[in-house]
Amino acid sequence: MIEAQGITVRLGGRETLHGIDFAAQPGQITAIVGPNGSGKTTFLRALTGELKHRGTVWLNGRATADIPVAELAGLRAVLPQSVRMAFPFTVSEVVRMGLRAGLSAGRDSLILPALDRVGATYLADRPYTDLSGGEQQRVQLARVLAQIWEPVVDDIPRWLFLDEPVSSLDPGHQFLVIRTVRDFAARGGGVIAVMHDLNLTAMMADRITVLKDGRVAANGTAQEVMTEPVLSRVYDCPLRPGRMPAQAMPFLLPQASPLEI
Amino acid sequence: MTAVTSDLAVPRDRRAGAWRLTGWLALALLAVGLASLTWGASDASPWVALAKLWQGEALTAVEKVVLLNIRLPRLAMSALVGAGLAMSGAILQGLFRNPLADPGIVGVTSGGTLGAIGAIVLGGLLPLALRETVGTSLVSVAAFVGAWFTTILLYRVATRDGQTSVPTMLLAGIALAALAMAMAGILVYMADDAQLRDLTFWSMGSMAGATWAKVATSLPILALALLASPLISHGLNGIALGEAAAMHMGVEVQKTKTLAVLWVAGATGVAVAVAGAIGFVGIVVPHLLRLASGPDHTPLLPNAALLGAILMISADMIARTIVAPAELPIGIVTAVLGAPVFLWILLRRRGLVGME
Repeated sequence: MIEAQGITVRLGGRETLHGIDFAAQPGQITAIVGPNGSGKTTFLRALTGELKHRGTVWLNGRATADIPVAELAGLRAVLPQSVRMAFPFTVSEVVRMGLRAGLSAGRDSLILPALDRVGATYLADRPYTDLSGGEQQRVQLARVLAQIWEPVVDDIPRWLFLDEPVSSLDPGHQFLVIRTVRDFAARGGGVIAVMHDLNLTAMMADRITVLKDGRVAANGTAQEVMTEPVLSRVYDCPLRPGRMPAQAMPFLLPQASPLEI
Repeated sequence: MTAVTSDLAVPRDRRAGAWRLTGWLALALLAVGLASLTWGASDASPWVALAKLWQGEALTAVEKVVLLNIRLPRLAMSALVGAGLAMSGAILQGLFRNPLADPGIVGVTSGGTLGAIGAIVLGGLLPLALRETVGTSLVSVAAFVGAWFTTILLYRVATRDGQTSVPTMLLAGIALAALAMAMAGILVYMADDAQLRDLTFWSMGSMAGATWAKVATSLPILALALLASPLISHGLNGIALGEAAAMHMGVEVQKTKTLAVLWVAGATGVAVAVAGAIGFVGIVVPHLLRLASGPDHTPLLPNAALLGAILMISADMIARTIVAPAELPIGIVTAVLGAPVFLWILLRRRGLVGME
């Protein structure tokens, strides 16, 4: 499991995260949501060790600061919000880098299956630099999946850290990527995802951590967290979730009348 | 998760092609090397000399001097300098994540030049004993320090949070180069050594001063750099995705960056110390190779060394034969060949320098 205690981050002389405690279980998708500027991405970057921070992060019971980066790369993979590349590597070369970074160096036969998970096999020979934003995002997800292809190795779960994995995708690919990520969790891996869209979050996440102003504002399942009092307070606007009849899954529609806006 | 059907084509793998290219480049280097030994102002021929040696005949004095003491060290130095500059370009571009970073364009070469001139002019102020111990390597070491200092300064100015701003890098490079060359100019005019007054050597380079002693000083550093390049090629591939992404892929980013900067400073510094500032090799060679066989640094770095050597030997052949018996500075030849390629890269990929 992933545990974090007292994560505090200062950026540009200003404290942006104030002692966040957090936990995520393998076999589940834990989503991090919150308004713009609430510290979602900052928190993810602190969790993955990209940002200097106070507090400790434990990965499967070990403090991540004590794990060498090469070993860490075999335990978890990180998807940034967007990746611009300087040189025209082909899509399959990008995915191969992921294989090499994890425990799967030389297993080139996994390149196409990894691309298939994000619906991008047709891009395999294209230069990455020629792709659209959504295509690049899917290719990066394929690279990250390739890095930790098996969700569990020797009974040790491996982890996916995703920063807005579906925000630049069309609905069809959003659905495919969510299915892929759910499948990874269902097979025992752990997923921590920063999400923007609350409806997609409700559809995807087992647990949701809501951040506001660098603090945890709420924590729980979609049913527990996506309620009118919590959301209205966090997002500073009236938000009244509806329920999908079959699964009682909460959903939100813009509810203000045109006149109010 | 539809199953991958078996009739899907295997993705193109450019690695085998890149290594085949290594073989062809090695052959071409051999051919160009022989050609460079053959052509020159004197009509001494390596073939005649070889035939004589084969039959046990003695070489004439002219043949000995021209072949062994002029053309051969010149060939070796051209190859070393070309290999070093081309690989420096490829590594600098990988480090800055931009195909326009060239040691000459971003001021690294000028920093090395300032170091070399400083050592020559001010080295005389050192105590005699110290001067004799350091000897000729003082110039190389000073050029290395100058190049290293400039690279670090450039990186500090242009990079924030692992993101290099390309306009800042290019503009800072212009400023650094101008400053270094101005200071070098002051030193040159302070010096009474007539040879030093020849600023063209430092601004446009020449292989004319090639001696076995110079080859001997530059060979160990460039050989070490060549052998060390596999250590950083994997890291540079990771850095192509960004420094954070590279770290998450298990790359020791800081170590890679430190090694890369030392590498570039060492190779560029040595090249400047023995041959002066020669531009554009570092940008043209890696660019052509990326077009031919892809940007993977593992084959790119050794291939750049080979093509850089080929290009430099060819440029030197042109420089010393086209206006024979006089010589052109070799930097004029590389600029005539390289500057249009630089412009062509800009035309094809305008976005690279823009703010996007």
